[in-house]
Amino acid sequence: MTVYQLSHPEAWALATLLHLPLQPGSALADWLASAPTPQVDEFLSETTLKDLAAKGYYRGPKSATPFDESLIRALTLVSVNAALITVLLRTNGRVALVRFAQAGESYVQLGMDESGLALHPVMPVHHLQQTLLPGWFTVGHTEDVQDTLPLEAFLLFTHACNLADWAFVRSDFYQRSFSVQELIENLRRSAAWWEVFKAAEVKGVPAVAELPLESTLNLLIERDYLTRIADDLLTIGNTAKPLAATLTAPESCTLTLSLQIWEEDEVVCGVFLHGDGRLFLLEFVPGQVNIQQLDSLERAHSWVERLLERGRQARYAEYAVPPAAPQ
Amino acid sequence: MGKKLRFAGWLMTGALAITLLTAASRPLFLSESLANKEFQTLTPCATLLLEAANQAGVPGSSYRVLTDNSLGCVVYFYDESYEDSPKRNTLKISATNGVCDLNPPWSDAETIITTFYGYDALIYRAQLFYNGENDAESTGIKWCMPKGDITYLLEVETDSHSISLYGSAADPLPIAEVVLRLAEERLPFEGVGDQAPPAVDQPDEGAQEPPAPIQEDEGAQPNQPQPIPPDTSDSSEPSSESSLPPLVVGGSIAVPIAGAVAGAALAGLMGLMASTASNLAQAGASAAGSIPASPAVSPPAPQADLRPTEPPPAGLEGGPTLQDESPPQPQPPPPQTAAPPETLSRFEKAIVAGTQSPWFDLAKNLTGPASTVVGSLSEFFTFSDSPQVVDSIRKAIQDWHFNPTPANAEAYRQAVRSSINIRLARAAERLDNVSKWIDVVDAVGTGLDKAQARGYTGLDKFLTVGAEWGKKRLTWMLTKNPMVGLTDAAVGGATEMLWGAEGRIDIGSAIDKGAEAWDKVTQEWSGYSEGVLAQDADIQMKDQFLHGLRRIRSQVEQGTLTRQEGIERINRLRNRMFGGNP
Repeated sequence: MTVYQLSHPEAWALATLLHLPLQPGSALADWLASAPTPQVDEFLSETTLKDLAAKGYYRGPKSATPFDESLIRALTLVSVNAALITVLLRTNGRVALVRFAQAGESYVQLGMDESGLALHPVMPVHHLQQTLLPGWFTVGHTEDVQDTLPLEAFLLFTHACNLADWAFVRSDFYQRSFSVQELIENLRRSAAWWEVFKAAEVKGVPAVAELPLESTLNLLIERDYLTRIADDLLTIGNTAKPLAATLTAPESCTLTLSLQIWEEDEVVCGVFLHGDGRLFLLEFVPGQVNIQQLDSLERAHSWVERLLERGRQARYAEYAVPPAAPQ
Repeated sequence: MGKKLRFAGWLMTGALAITLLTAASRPLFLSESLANKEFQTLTPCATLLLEAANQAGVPGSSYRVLTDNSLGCVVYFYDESYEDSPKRNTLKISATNGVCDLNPPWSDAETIITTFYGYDALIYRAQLFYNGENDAESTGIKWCMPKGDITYLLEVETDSHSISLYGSAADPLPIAEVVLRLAEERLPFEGVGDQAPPAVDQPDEGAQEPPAPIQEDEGAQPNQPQPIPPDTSDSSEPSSESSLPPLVVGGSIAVPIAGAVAGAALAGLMGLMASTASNLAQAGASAAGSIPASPAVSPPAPQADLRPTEPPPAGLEGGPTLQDESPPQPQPPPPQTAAPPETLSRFEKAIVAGTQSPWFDLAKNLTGPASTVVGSLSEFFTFSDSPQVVDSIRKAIQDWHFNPTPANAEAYRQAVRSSINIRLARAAERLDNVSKWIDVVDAVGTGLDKAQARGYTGLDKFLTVGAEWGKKRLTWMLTKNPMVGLTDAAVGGATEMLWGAEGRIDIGSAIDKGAEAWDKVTQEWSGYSEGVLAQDADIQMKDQFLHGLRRIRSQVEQGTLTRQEGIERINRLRNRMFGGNP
């Protein structure tokens, strides 16, 4: 598969040469912003042209198609995309990050780091709909779990799952109970990352000091996510065991999908949680998590389809037109 | 496309048939002027063009013979009633050196390669920028006619300097048909075949012109060409009788039908060009027959046509009109490309600028890429007002291609930079907040240190930190889309934060896999979930204690490990990672 790799000077040169209508907030604009802007004579140079020729993207002035047309199409899309889909695939501590710029019925997969921009050719969105989810997200059994939890309750529950595992190991694989105090302290001790997102102004994220831990704990017990087996001892409740088993499965895998639309502040964000033969969809909306167990991969595809449909409708409120060349 | 063409062809066939029937009952006009001996002072080439213009009723009250020698001639017709001659029609014939290149005169013209009464031809239409307005247009047809040992390149081009003010450019096809008919009768010109034509097939190319005298109006010469009756109506339709090939009047039924069909098809193409998007150029190229289009490689064509016409000298009101039988006065020659910089046209300035960098030459010849951009935008933009947006962007792109200078490149760079900065301002504010909590991350700490040392604040601080942070691929995640980071951390990533060494925040471990095929990535990650990690001691030691623990737990639960074996493995894992009891 063709993947185009561009340096900052090369991307600046092509954008300028083609007079691309770079929209602030587009994938290309974001990446260009990640490095100091070069001067015109730095990027419109023979060196840049030679570099592009060496990569096969520039074919010389006598060619009927002096630049790779597929590259031009991909560059055009990432200069005007009003929707960006971010995918994080996490398994056993390894996280793959991939982005897809969407414009109407088309998309471009892209990757970026501090020195290079990788662009795939433009593809139709229906192709992404079919390939976004791993085929190995198969469903073995389902308990039809469906619920909504406050964000802090979900976080407290994931900590409880970790502690239950830890308790099992510490007890030489005899029991899985843990103390309330340990759960609360554990959450507070590891709350620094939480503060990062609070500071980043993610909606519905309270400060750690303001977390209503006691009422949150009571909520989890009330809904049978946790079971109090003694005054100070907790274990995972029966209702939440399918979710806990999926979260703590050794092969547990999460695929986090996020759609950013530039006309809205809100980000559509969902996680497909796969493990222990189960598949959950966790939708993160401001302040809470919608939990839904899926009975098939097709239902997951349907959610992706709705996500892409929102991406299809995305547009900028007003499009920036490149400056006209003065006479 | 095919249906459109057939429909347009059907319409035009009908229209032409009506024209033919009407014309058959009328006499040819201007027969007197054609016999005027004053035409005969020009070469047969210019005589042919003037005669053709006469018969075709070319709009324009005045004309100029720009070039007229044994190698070719150029005559253009204009209207003195307007200050800047808003509409002009140019007729050209040139003997080629054997290679008849059908290049459009404008780099971003919409083009279609076709045939014109059996001759390989190019029809084109370009929207141009003129006097601060970008609604000028130029349309034309060029075709190659091998006659004797010579291949001639003939061209009819019509211009309008402002569509909104003066209407569209005239239809060049009826004029071309008359030129073709006379050319069939008179080519090759006597004497031309005796010479080996130099490599010149564009006799009006300014400084590269062979040393042929420019005969502007030939005012000082005693033998003045017979003026053509005026037609200042600006009608794009010449009078029907003047556009008829003689065989039509002569009575052959097969020829007029064939001509009508061929003309109708070409007229249909011209009509489509006027109404469809610029990707026609690609369509035309793909439909090309024996002659490949080479618009992207054609040299820039700084035609005199685009320059404002020199006003007529005082005392020559209206200039030597086609009706004026008095001897015309000499006119100053049109500006040449070698003129002093202050008098250079904008196009010529672009050419001068283009000598500084190959990019600026490229910018002038990007017909295909520009069409790709505009065509792609039309495809990507699916909202209701997208045609207007795409059109405004297209015009800006066209504007740049006609004026590709370093100054304009700099203006573009600044505009992009400014718009990006506005967008990032909020991200910069966000970073100021976030950085209070994440300075335990080395990259951010390094970036903040650098920003502090350089006294950066706000956006500069953001960019500096971002450059460092970008190395951990976090810039975007936390500043552009913190929600996805939070979500990932809440479901999976927090486990690493919980169990990571020294409580370090480790949310920068995402590996950008954007350059790899997505299905390949998912397969790779499938392997990680199926046990590859179990043999990866290095990863276990660094970050994956919890997952190692869970794998051992699962094996104990499934009975593949005894409880004692599980305990021993947990201890080994713990000792490797923490060096002591958990």
